[in-house]
Amino acid sequence: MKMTVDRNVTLRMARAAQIRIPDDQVGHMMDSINDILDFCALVGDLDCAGVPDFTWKMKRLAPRRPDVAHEWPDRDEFKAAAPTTDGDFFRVPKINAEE
Amino acid sequence: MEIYEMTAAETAVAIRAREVSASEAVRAGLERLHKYEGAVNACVTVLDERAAKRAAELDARLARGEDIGPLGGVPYIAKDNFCTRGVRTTCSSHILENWVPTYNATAINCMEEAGAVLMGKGNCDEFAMGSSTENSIIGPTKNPRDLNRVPGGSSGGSAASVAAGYVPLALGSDTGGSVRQPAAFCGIQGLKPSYGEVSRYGIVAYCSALDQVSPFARSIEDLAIAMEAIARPDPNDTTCDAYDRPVFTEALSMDNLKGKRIGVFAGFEAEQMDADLYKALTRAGNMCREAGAEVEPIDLPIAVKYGVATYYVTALADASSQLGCYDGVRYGTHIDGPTLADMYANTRTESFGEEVRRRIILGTCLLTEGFYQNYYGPALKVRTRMSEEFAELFGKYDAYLLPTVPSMPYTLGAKETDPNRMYLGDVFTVPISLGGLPGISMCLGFTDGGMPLSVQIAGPRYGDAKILGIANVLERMIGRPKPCEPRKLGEAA
Repeated sequence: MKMTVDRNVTLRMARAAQIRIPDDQVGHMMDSINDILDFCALVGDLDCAGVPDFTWKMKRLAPRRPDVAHEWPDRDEFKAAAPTTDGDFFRVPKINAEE
Repeated sequence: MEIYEMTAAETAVAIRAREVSASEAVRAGLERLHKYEGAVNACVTVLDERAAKRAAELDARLARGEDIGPLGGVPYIAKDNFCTRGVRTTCSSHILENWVPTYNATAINCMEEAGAVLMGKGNCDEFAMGSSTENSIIGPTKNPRDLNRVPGGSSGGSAASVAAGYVPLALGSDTGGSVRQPAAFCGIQGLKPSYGEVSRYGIVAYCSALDQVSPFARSIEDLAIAMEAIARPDPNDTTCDAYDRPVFTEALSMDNLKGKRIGVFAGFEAEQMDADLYKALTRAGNMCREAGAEVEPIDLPIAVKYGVATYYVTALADASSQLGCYDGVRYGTHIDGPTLADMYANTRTESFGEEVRRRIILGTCLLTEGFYQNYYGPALKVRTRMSEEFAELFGKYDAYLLPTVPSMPYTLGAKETDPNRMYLGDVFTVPISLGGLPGISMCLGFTDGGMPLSVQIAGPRYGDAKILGIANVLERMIGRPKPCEPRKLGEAA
């Protein structure tokens, strides 16, 4: 069944995606989503009664890693990739206070 | 023959025979790159020093009598969505502009083990979303066959590097055609392996349900050699099959197609696509017949009618969830705000490009209550029907031929504004992706005007060696593509 979005739904989706849409671009985004929803409604046209969902089948399951701690490259390399560091530690912006 | 004209196989043989050193091979590639990169813009990062150092190490090992591997000393380019330890990996996006991974993708480790030398990181559409390599922080890559045109995408930088002779071999990733389409546009060979054939560990995901690591080369033999290097089980990727791979290069010993049954796609009328590409498909069918195959017309009604819509739903939904990890907290660009929600929104809004933001919002929508039931759910069932269609076909045929693309590469900046029409450019590549099948796009020569002709050869899942063998027979008949001097068509080469 074909579905459409209005301005409010478009803004709600953007909020859920943690992306801001400037006011003057909401209409354009809404039209763009509706174009795609219109085109993709085709997937509902094929008779799939009793057809199971698609899953990938494998010949042989992947080997599993041993569940043991292993060495990583040196600490300095990780620290270089960190937003900030605190002595020996990888530091990220504080997020818990508000959650 | 100049070094840059050699295939990867020829380069590796010449290095082992001490006719050329690894350092000379890498230097030749870098010289070629620096000569043309201003015009082509294929690489986000060029690794002059690192590549030269590694080549010198390989030469030293060779001098000690060590085996330096089947690709020993061969330079290659990897798309900039492959994690490379110590080398920034941007995905052509501001959000990862300065991100330096602390580990290698498995495919990169495999190439290193085989002796190949990473020479640079290939430009791509941001997060592999696009088919022109125009949506990138470093600007568009241009097609070396005609610098006025796009190289295709999203792995356009890797493809252009091979076509322009920077390297004989490159890695890209193909989700809905991102290696096969640029291979077709740049006049080279590209293979999207079966889903599960090559590990994706360390590839920045766009759509995990479909992404595949895929090699580019100027010969089918080089694709087979690359597959031998990268196709293997990986405990770091549970979607990578643990079965014993065939020896891909053994498939190349076949010198005709006697006993093979090949279907040729006949579902499009001549006027539905570019006339030269339509003729190329017919010609490829005739070549198969000349080589001894039984050739019959086939149609793929479900795949062609429903493929693009199904791909779109699958890929967008997947993208919205894959790209959820870019929140500005642990790595990547961080743009502060008064609240946590502001920080997330600032980071994502300002650091993702327009197309990526659009796809994430669309994907979020498709996974919402109501939309999921009407779009994502049905798409999963259509995929089952499509795979049944393919299974029936491969009960009768060893492989089938279809176009890679319905049109020639378009002019830079000539953006298609209707997204529905733009995505229809993927009509022949996405069904192969959705079915998890292997597909080779191979160059079938050039038009009188100098633009590349191509055909796609698809096989049953895990039939990668089989289609490499078939493509190799055709390549022997028609010759393999050579690297070109990048130029604007109409100007002397």
